[in-house]
Amino acid sequence: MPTEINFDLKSQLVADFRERESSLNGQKDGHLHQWQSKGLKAFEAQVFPSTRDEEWKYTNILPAMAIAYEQYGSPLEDADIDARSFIPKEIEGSILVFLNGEFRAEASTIKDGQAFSIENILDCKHEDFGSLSKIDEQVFTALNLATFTGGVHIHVPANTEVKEPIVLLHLNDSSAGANMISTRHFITAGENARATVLELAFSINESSPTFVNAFTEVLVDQNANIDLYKIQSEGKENTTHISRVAAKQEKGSTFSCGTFTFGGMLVRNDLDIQLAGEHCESYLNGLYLGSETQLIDNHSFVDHATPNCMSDEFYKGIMDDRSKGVFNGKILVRQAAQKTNAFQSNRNILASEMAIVNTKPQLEIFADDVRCTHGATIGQINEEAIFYMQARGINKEAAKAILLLSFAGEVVDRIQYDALKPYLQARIAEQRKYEGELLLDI
Amino acid sequence: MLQIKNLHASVEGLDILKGINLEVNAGEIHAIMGPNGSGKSTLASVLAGKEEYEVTEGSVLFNGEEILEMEPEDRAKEGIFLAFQYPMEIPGVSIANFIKTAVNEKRKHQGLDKMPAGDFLKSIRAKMSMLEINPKFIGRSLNEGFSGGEKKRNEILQMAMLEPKLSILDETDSGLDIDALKIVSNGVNKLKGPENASIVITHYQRLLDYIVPDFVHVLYQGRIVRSGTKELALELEEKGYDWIKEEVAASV
Repeated sequence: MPTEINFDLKSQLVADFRERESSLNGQKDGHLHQWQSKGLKAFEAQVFPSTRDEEWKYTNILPAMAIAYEQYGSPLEDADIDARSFIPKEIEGSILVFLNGEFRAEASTIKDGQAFSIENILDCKHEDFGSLSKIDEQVFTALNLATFTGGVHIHVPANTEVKEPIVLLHLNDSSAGANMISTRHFITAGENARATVLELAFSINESSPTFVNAFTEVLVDQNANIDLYKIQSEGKENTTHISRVAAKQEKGSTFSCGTFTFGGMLVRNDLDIQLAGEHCESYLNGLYLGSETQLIDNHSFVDHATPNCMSDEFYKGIMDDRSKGVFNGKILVRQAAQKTNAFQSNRNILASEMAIVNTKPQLEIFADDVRCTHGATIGQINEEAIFYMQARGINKEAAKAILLLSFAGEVVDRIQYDALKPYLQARIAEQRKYEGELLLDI
Repeated sequence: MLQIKNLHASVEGLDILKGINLEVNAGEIHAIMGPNGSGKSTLASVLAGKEEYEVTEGSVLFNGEEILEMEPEDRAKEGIFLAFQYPMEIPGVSIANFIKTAVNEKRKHQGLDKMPAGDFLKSIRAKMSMLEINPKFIGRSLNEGFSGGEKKRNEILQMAMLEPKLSILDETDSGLDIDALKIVSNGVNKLKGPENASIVITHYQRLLDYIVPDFVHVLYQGRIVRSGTKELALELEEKGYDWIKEEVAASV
């Protein structure tokens, strides 16, 4: 099917929804349909944002929202999917496979005797499902609620520790046509619970335009610790990836989120962190490596609503070729949130003459006894350092790669989950076409 | 070993070196002195192959081979070592890994296998002990947060590990206290042998109390205006550079 330009995607999505709805009989009263209708209603009341919208000033999403996407499944059988080949070899643990957003049980591996429970998101009736979705202001989350076809609810019961990570593997197959993939995950951690969740995204076929609209909702109860990673490795030709992670932290909890963007034609990540109880800690780490004509946009919002919390955000980008990076980090310290410690840093290297970065820290502080720091830098490759390495017999290309690996390695160094570090290092080296030995000590 | 003939170089259209002639033989230590801005560091950078400097005339033969068209890394692998005045910081890359890579690049160039890890550690430990460097030092990120003295000792450690034929020490004494100066000089002296040579670039005579040169050259306005033995350095210490400047002015 040829791709239409200036297509009215919103009207089509609404029409498709109505059509699906009319084919439902007894299921109309089901909880899922109730949710979806609510999502559609919120979606209908909004429009896709243009660059006149402050939140989308540097990212023009409209061309990607003028394509006649359908929600296609994949013809691949479960047996054809070698999930393990996408997973870092250092990582053991349960692997849940989502192909075009649809859960593929036979391709997944769920280890016995796990401390957590999972259920298909389509069956989730949890009372707090959707509580962080803000569908009346987040048009993509509203669309996600109206159209999600897969995902998982992971519950980590109180006082349990999940030792091995839970891997959510997302594979996109757009061989059937322009494809919209809506996935949705819900993570609930009970008091003192502890778990690591790894979301990986790859394209196995992006011959047609692909629009991924992912939402992950995380509720972190008192003193719980959730460590979430998103590693985005989709194709750079045809994939628009919109991701939002919303987390709410209760007293004494820790939430870490590591976002590593290697792929995607247009990637927009939103983090929405609510520090709802005292003595919470949030660690938000991000690394984006842009090349070709990629656009990678990271937006974050940290809402300090209570006293004595700490948030530490550390994002770095290396933009090459004609790629474009956007960072916008908003920190809100409400009046009640005294003794807040909020740190934010965004550092970028432009590795080519044509690359662009727009970075903006945004602090809104209403409490008077707080410590907030922020810094944003955009620099170039340090030629003096390159010469220094050359003078030690390291060739120029390798020296450049080592320098960039060392720059990016600082983000890898900060993550909690050690087994992931060699994989991330190798991915960075691969992206920078560095074939020498990895020099970094992390 | 090194023959510099009528070397002219400029940076951003500004002529800095205006006809340098210098011959360095194996086993010799040459000191190059001169007032600020005379072109000392430019000479060091040109010999190491820094891109920003354009060689407009002349030649530099190293062991009979013209090096001016060679990449800096190839010159390094052939045995030219520049100890930097301001060594760069490279966070995340440990000294050990950096030196190991440099050593193995050179070995590859020589057609040798990588140095076995055990041999490397043994060798670097011995050289650190010679330079009075704490063994924990090599685990640290390259030059990150180092004091001036630590940076310079690290340069000499790299030199000791790479065993260059020609070492060029660019203002190695700057930023060193007297103890660090002694340690660094001691290291350089121990590395001296009949097969290698050094060019020591310095503004002050002080370093030459510890590294005794065979020859001293005075660089001024991009030319070597006077050459002599170590006594010349003492004369400069005593009288400063003004008499040299006056002599040059008078001869024009």
